[in-house]
Amino acid sequence: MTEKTPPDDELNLNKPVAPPPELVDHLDDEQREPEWLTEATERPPETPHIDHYDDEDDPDRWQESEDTAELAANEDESAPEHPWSQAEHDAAEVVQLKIRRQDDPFSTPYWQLFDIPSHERDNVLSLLRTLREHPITGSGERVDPVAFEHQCMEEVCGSCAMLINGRPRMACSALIADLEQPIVLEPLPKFPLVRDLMVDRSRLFEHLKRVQAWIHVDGAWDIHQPGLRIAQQQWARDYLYSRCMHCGCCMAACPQYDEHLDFVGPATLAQVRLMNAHPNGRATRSTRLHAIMGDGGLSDCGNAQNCVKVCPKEIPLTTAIGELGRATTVQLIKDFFGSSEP
Amino acid sequence: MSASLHNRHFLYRRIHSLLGLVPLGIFMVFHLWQNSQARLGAAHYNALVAKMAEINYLLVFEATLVVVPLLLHAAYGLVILGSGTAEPLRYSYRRNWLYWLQRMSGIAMIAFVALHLGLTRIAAIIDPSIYNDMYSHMQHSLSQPVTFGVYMVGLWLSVFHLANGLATAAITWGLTTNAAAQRRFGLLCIPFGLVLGALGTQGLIGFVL
Amino acid sequence: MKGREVIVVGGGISGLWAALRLAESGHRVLLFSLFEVMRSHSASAQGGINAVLDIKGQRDSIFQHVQDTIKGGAYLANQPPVKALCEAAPGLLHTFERMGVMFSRTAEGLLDQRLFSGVRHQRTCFAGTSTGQQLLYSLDQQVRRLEAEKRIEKYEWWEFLAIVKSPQGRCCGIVAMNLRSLEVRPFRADAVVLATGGIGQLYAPHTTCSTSATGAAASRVYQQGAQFANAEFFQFHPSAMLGHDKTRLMSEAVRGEGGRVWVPRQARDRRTASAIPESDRFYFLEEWYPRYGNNVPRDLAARAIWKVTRMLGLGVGGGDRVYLDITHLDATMVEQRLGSLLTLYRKFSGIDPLSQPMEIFPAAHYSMGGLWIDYEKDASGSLVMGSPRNHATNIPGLYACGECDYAYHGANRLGANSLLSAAFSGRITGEAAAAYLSGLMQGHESLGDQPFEAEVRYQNQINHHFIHAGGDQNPYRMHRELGELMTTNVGVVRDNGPLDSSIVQLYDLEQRFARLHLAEGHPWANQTLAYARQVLDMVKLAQVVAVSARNRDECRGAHYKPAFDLEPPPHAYPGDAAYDSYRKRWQTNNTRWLKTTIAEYHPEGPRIHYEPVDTSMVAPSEPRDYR
Repeated sequence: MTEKTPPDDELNLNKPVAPPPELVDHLDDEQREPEWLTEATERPPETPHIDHYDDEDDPDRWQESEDTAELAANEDESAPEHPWSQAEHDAAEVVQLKIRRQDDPFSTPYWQLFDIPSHERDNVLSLLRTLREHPITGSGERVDPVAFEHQCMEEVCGSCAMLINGRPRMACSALIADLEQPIVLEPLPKFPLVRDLMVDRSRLFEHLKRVQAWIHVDGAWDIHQPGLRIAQQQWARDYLYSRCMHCGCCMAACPQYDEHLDFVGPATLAQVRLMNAHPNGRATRSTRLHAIMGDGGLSDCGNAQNCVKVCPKEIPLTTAIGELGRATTVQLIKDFFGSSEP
Repeated sequence: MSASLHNRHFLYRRIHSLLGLVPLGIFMVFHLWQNSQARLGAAHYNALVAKMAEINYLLVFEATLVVVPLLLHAAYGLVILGSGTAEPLRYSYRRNWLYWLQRMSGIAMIAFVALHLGLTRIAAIIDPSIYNDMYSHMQHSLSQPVTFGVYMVGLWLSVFHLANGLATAAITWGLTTNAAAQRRFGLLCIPFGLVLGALGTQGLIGFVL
Repeated sequence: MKGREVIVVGGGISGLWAALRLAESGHRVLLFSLFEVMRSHSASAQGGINAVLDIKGQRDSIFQHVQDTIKGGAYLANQPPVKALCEAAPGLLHTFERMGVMFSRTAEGLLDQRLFSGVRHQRTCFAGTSTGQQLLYSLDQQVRRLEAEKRIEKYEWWEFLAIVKSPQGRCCGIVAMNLRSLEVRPFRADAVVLATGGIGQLYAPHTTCSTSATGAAASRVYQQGAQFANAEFFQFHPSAMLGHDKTRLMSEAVRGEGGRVWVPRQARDRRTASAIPESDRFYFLEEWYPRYGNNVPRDLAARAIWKVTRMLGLGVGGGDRVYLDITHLDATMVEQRLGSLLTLYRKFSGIDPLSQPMEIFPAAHYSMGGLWIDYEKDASGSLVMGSPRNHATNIPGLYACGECDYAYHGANRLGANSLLSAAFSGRITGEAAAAYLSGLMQGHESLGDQPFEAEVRYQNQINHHFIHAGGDQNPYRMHRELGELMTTNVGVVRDNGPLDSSIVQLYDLEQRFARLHLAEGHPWANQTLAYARQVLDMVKLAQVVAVSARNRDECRGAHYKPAFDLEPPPHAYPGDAAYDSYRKRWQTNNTRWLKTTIAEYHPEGPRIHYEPVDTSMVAPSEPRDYR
């Protein structure tokens, strides 16, 4: 028998997960030597060692370098308790961040204020990155670094969505110069909170499964013939929807969307619109339409149209919803009066 | 397998939308047009009411075209209302305000229609003589500034609910698909609402002047 | 056939392809990713994907594609994998098309193709300006379908920490950490595919790469015995926007449309760009390369910018920046042809490039090097498809594909070949691993729990040390120091002196982890812990890059050591005696250096040896000439 991996309960945020005992057990020996991790294990830790290179090194050559002098200086002032270095403060304008924090899904949220030196062209994300190196509040208290998600930092991965001054948007493209201060940061609403500014957006992907947002190909192998043609005009309309990065901003702003409700949200609907337009996807169009004609589907849209206003990629979500409205109306008539299509 | 027929969710929503437009919307237009004739005086108005009462199977028509659709539309409207959290101040876009107002006007309409029925139909059950001179009865009711005010607000909220409902139904049913068409159609619904509201206002004023 | 368990680490284009092919072969796939797979760095690729479709009437051929790729890579790539890559490209494109990728179209509704640098044929398919995103999403959708059918199981928010080997040295599973609960757990499997991407974060923040491009996973298997090849070959993109968090890519298209690169002639000129008259502007690319001007290839442009700022001290405001100017161009034309790029610049800089010149600097972009992998050559000089040797690392049962392998780009990558190699390598790795699984007589079941438990214990000890170490070294600061050190000494231009010193500094940096101060002991979603562990493994990998670069005394592709540069003689061309003697020197250099660098882990630092390159298809007879 193979050892089956159990379903990943670890990801289930509804119940508290205890840290592994190894982490909380406090070992009394403070390891300060390079030979950290002395306890014998299957993989004895390899000790960092530099003797080998001492022989080859010519110290005079690199000590002249300005950059290494800078590195040495950095090393000297890297004691963690120090507040902002004077140089950092002088170099830049100080920006105030007000961040809503929460240690885990079950604790109470609280607010903290931070004063962060900011440079030309900084954005909210770059400030958060500066902050994690010096997590010190405006009143000088050292706190845990603020947890937040980011990845590409150029508004294409969809990770860093949060409420910035009350509006859902991407932190990477929120330039400090354009924002009112103090800049108020809160986690993206409508999704279960993980920690601080991190939320669990796994629902988004469950929605996509629900509406079967994929083209059903026989297999990912070559079939030795080109795909079907697509007119440029159709491409221009469809392409807009293929840029959706599932950041969740549209859902955060949607009055009909909530973690306790069924609605799949605008981005998911737009994917149905996209898949149904593709020459290969058209074959299973009615399956997808039926999926959004069920609970939590298209008819849960209340036409508040906030989605299209907050979408960082300016995707015409409400057009998708209108087009799906027409498609489902036709589908309903077909279903009612019968049709030769499945 | 026709999921749209087997899963009632979609059907209920579309029926809700349809009821609001076809029997109820049309009835409202007719009702406001009819009452605007109050300006032609008590005799004309009362004759009209009498003529209406003579319609064959009136009660059946009233029940199937007005009362039942109204009850269904209102009840299901309340169900829908429970599932949304409008934040018009956070997202103060035009359509979001309309979304909020549609729900608020829906609640107000339930209260207003109840009041309106109470003052007319239910009052007439208690005192059948009201039917003989509906005009005077209405004139009496509306001469009180509070009632007149409530009627005026109720009227305009109802008109808004219908006009805005028409605009969103166009999106829901897929009459208007892209954003430009939705905007154009939405703009058309404004004069429709204004004309309808004016008609209703004329009726109300007709009773008291 | 009984399906076996197989683990794929990484959810970018390559990892998803591997997962797809493995699941289609009937194996149960466990897919690990640091985040939801659609956040992967593949999404950031803008340009396109190469495939010879020859629909532009230019008589393009697969052989031409092979030749361009090999020559672009300065002959350092083994040629059978390159041949297989180029041959498979058209079929791969059509498969993507079937999966629903919104490729841009011609008026006839065919796949459109554009010209990319370094080649003469329109060979690059693209989906607007977001090709990588579209390719990634189409695979994400296919994987989601198989996930819904319970054929693939995703472990998102899990970080790969180590492989687990049987006593015979076969890879039998992994140990991973849940990034929320911090639970460290073993996962058994009969094969493991690593598709963990590039190593651009070694140069942070001077990189166009995402935060996940740390190379930590590759470093971890390297430390467990996997060989790392050609680490010194790292591509720097000449034009990236400035930024404290990252440097965002400004496509070559800006220069292609007439953008001019310049600096003030006067060092530390304090005037604004518009106030500097033509006579005081130094259009250094146009002066140094009169024939190509601003359109010189990536590596030359990057070196020229490096020279003008770091060596001549002429950077704008004395810093690491030069102007990329389009203010002289017709605004309507520029807006029409470069619209999305201008939007990107405006969005992230707040400055309109139509009124003020853009400010750019080279940035770390793509790693040609990576984990060493095997291949099986067929009679035609291509690959034996379905061979279990393809993409196998030197650890049995461990495969690598995507940017974390070294196979396709030699010493320098051709534009729009990265998405192709990511997709192709993922696909054939899935097939190779499936073949390996079919040939296995005995699975991981025969292995007891002991090696798994030992590895979990070891990894937990590292976590324990990191959380409790009471030193003074901040991991974020150490990462910045690493980035500065690598950018300055192991970057665009390399010299043995600074390389030697940087090797010492990297070992010093590693030692400082003993004095780590995590400043965060929180047991839930502790990002600093995972980050610090990555930085340590990045330092170990940086040592490989630095030592590999130190050992290669020549200029080849992206690896540039001016002390060993073989410049073609000025004003001499093929046929001239001076040129022939230059060609001779170039060929002699090839006999010495045309070989793959292979680094093996050793506690005292990487051990380097070399392996010959298969040049059976295109012989290295002619040097590249950019003049």
